[in-house]
Amino acid sequence: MNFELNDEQRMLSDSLTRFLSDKYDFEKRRKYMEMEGGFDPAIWQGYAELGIFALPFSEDEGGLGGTSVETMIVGQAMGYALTNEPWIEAMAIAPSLLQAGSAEQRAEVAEGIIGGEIIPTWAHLEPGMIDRGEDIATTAGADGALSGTKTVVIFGAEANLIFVTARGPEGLGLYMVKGGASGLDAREYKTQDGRRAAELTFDGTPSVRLSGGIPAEEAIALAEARGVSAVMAESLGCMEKAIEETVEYIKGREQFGRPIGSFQALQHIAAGAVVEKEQVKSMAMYASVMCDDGDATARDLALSAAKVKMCDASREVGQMAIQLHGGVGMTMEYAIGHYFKRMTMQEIAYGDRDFHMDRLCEAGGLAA
Amino acid sequence: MELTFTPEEEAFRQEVREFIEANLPAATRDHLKRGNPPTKEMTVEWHKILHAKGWATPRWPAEWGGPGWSVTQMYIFQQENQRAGAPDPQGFNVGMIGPVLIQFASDEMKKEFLPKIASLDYWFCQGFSEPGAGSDLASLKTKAEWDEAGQQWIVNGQKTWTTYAQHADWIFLLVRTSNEGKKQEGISFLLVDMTSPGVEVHPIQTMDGGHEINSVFFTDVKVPAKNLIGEVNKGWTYAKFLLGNERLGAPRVGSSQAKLEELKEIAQTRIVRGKPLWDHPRFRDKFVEAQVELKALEMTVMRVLSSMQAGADTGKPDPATSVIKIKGAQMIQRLTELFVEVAGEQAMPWTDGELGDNARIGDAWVERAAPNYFNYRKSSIYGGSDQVQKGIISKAILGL
Repeated sequence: MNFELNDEQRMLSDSLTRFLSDKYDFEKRRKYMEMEGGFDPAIWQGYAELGIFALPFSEDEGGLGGTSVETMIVGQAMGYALTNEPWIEAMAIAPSLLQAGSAEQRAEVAEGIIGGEIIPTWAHLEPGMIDRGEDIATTAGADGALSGTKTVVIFGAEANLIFVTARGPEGLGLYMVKGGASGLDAREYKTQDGRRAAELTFDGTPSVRLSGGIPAEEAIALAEARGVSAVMAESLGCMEKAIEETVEYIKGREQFGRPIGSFQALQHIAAGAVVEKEQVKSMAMYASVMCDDGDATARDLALSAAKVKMCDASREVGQMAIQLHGGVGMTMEYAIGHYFKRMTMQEIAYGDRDFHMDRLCEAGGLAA
Repeated sequence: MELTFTPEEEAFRQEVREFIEANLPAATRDHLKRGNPPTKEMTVEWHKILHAKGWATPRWPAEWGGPGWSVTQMYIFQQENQRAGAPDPQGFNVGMIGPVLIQFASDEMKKEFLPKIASLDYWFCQGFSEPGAGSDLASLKTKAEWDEAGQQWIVNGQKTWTTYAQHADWIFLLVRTSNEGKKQEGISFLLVDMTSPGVEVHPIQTMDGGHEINSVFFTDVKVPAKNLIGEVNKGWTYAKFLLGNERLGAPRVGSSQAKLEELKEIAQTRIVRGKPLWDHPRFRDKFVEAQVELKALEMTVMRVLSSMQAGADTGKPDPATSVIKIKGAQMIQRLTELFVEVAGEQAMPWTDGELGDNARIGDAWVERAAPNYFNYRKSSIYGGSDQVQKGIISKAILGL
């Protein structure tokens, strides 16, 4: 039993935090959001140069062979800085889905992601599909031609490599489509939390099926697990920053002739948020270790437990932060509202509370 | 980062489990399994069995009879002991006064007291709270005055909420020795023999009908000079050290895990409207939610222990210890609520025996469901209430 980070992990945390505090603040973030595609490609390249994209790939794939603990460290820093780029798709989703592919497929895509040339995303959800367990209607022909519609594909119009979940002649499969491929239509929009996403329509779109690795179902389940773990870590970072911002605010804001942070009613609400945040920190660590567990059932139940805890805590911390900011917390001008919006999206990403409660309840809870 | 246990640690767990299995008296196991608190005799008997094995004082240094365990081993032992439904080693002795003496007492006092504290030949109770000093402990008024002629301290005052004072041979007291300066700076730490003339114990019955707590009155009680621990007027420092230790023991994760398992077993056999309660979605939700909270608590406890093991700066407040206190109390309380909810209306009879056995209409756990719920409201009050913990977080962590 050991919850401590090793020296390399601490260095990773320090260097990424330094990079982000240099590149990201509220004003800079606003500028990035106004750029074409909703983010600055130079920052994506910066991540690549820091080497973070190499972490989740094995040494055989040309990566650094890191674990989900490294992904957690990255996620915490990304959440704290409220970054917008699709790092979860690059670091948690793509490396998992690629496990369905051959050694050559894995190495080729890994090289592109590690170098920052590939911006990957995952087209999985379909219109009307509010639960991640529902059937996939998108089809793939024997030649890999895809037909169907996918919804809320994060940076779906900007990504140059799209992993698509579809039903082919051999059952559920994972297919890779290049950005701008023929028969691919993207309807782009902004998300509630300042990112971009798109509805993607495939009409005979050429693709390459991932084959030669683990079954697609297993790769999808792995991606879902690592997605939960990554979004947990990001949520933790957001909670840390939201509490910091709120505490700073109530120390400075004066009413009734004194800082409102001197009122015990507010102090105890803020302290309650710290309690919940600390529980999420523990569960984020648990999630990151468990999502590399070889027993898929134990892994998925553990991740569900973590996500349930995160959903509850995120609501409490987020709502606390807006409430204690008062009127200014309601405005676009203040950072806190943007953290609140991101936290709310994290609660519903990769399965909401009900989805994960159902999974736990059906199994009779965590293994004792 | 490694959340699993090494093969050596798993072997240790097995050794602990087997030892408890082979040595825990069946009567004690059954009594506790029914949801009852241990009697004095049960605690003493089990404590002495553990002491003979060298396991009664897990956190003490080897010099004073500790087993020399790692933090992880201590955690495993505590978890196994609780899961087996065994009484804890006597906490006031092992977790509170022992460490204070080891840290702050003279060699003479250590030699005189520590062996008997470890073996539970001396049962210690804690004399901190007073009628006018609860959360504001430093406002305590029980005073010790120096008797120059007799070269001794004379103690007068009243302590309250004194757990198991009726069992105790000794009491460790916070007493006022000065009214100068800050109120924290006029407090000393004293050991008092409960058989001293002038010590009177009055029982307090709690709403569950139990007798755990007492008022203890001191009238001109004579205490030898050597029984003052450390330095005069430095008692507050020792008390803070002691309370920090108390908070770490608070969560009782192993015990809550055992309770949750028991709840599951009960739900699987209790037929409600034609099917086991376990198959009712509303129950399953509540069970899973409790399990999620318990997992988070377990992880936080392990995280704090891990940072202790790694030699974290203990001078710096770790928010996780207050989190553990608050969440540990909530967890125990939530479980007691669930037992009442599962018992339903069968939880109503009050089984104190005054009207004979007429009230015994259900299983043993049903009888204890409501009293345990009533009793465990204490856990968010003692050892620094939830509100005190939130005050600590606000000030020490958030700087508010």
